[in-house]
Amino acid sequence: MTGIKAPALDRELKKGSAELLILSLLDARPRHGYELSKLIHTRSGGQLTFHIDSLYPLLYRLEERGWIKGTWVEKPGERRRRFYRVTASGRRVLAQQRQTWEAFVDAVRRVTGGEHA
Amino acid sequence: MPDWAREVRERLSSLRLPPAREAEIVDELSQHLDDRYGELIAAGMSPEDAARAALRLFQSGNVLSKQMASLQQSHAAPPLTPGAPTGHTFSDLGQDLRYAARTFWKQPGFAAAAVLTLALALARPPRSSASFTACC
Repeated sequence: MTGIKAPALDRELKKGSAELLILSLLDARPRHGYELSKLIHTRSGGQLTFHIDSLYPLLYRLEERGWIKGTWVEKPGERRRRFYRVTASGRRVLAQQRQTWEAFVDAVRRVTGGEHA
Repeated sequence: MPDWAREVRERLSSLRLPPAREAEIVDELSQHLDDRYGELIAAGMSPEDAARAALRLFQSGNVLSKQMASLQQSHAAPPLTPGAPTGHTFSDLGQDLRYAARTFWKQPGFAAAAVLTLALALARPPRSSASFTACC
């Protein structure tokens, strides 16, 4: 994932949030890889971009953990596409990750915003 | 249309993916590149520029292979060929016995005939084996 110009911290923050981003987007409905990458790019205002060689290994990793499930869908006149959906265990992980992320952001905001309050 | 499948396959070649799984990944990533390519063409880009831009979805260096290397699917055992030696005497023996058992199970009549023939031949007294030698 690339985006905001900042070295290690940004890179680690993005890496840490990548699973959360994917699980959140798939929580709404099943999506294919290209749709996921477009949504992340547009919804982040172009700040977050997944390269193809980071996105798919992440999807496969989440699938191996049993958090998401990919299924090939064929429609007449179109190439088959692999759609991913969140599994029950993926939803539990998503709830935990959301909680952790919100607590982390809140804690950082309280520390960094303290002087201006 | 650029050969996306070749681009993806080259990047996966160092992994030990099962062939069917590799074909799926090639298909999926080719589709992604094709979507991007089509989008850029629709936006008015030339086919050459669109192909180059689509390939920039890959980072420099073989990141795909590096990211995939830690996945379980990238370490599939090579397919087992019946009768092919593994290089280990005891595992070869076990493999042969399992193969024989499966074959016998599939053809019980043949297995019974083979076992019976061997049993009769081995049970014959030595004098009879001389008569076999004489006639054949």
